[in-house]
Amino acid sequence: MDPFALASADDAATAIVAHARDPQLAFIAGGTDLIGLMKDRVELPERLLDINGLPDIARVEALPDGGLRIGALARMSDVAAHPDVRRRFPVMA
Amino acid sequence: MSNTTKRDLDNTATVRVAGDAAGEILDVHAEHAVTQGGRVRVSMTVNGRVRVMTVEPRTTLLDALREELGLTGTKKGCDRGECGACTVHVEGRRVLSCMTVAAMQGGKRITTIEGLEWDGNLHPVQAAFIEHDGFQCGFCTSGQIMSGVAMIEEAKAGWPSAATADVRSLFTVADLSDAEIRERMSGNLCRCACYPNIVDAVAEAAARS
Repeated sequence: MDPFALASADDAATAIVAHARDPQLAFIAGGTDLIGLMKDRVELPERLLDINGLPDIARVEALPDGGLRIGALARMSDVAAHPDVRRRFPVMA
Repeated sequence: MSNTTKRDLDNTATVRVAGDAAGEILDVHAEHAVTQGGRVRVSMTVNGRVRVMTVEPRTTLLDALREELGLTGTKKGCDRGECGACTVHVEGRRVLSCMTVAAMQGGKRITTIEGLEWDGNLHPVQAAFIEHDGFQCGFCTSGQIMSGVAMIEEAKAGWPSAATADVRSLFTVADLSDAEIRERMSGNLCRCACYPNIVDAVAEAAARS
């Protein structure tokens, strides 16, 4: 991989501002997609911002209106194993 | 343009550089802290021992384990997240260390194949692989075993898989059919094609767990 700088953010507003101001900055969560693209030199961000510290966006929760909210940091395996997903949205599990 | 934006990032107090000895993160005050290609110090607990390393941000967990810590039991197969040979546990969950940024693992608990034995005794999954001849060349074996260990825990925790017929009921270890094991181990390739024996080994270890 090409060299890059790494930073992390602990609130969403800061992360959004940093991303908006810096075209060479990419968010990194799990990295499964981005790291592969960087190894292939398809994506060459100069800076990565680790967003794993952002609060409350890894949650999977059933909503009162019958819907489901899946946080952007929720892992696929957590979504599949979630009791509400298994019970009410079995196709997703 | 790029300098200005970089400074913006550096000067944002809540944006932090990953990895200090406590496994926490340091506030970014100086530009050198996020200098491109600059090295970062990261501390993680590997097989029960706190290990501190200074790595480049681009160093994968796989390279950090092998090159910095000398833990060469974890193998580099494809180095692109396709073969599973580099599977390790982070906080008890299996991850592909070749696709994981080492500097992002500050404070995390890592287990590699070297950390499975206890007091000179093999882990039951290791023993089952020997008993069932779950390998030929052995290159994929540490990844297979790390995956098998985590997979049994996932089944115990009730996680379904793509092979689970009824995801509504809670999955149990007793539901681990050969098809379930094959699906759940499908992220780990074996070029020697020892799959039947690998399935047998995992099934026996799961039954005994």
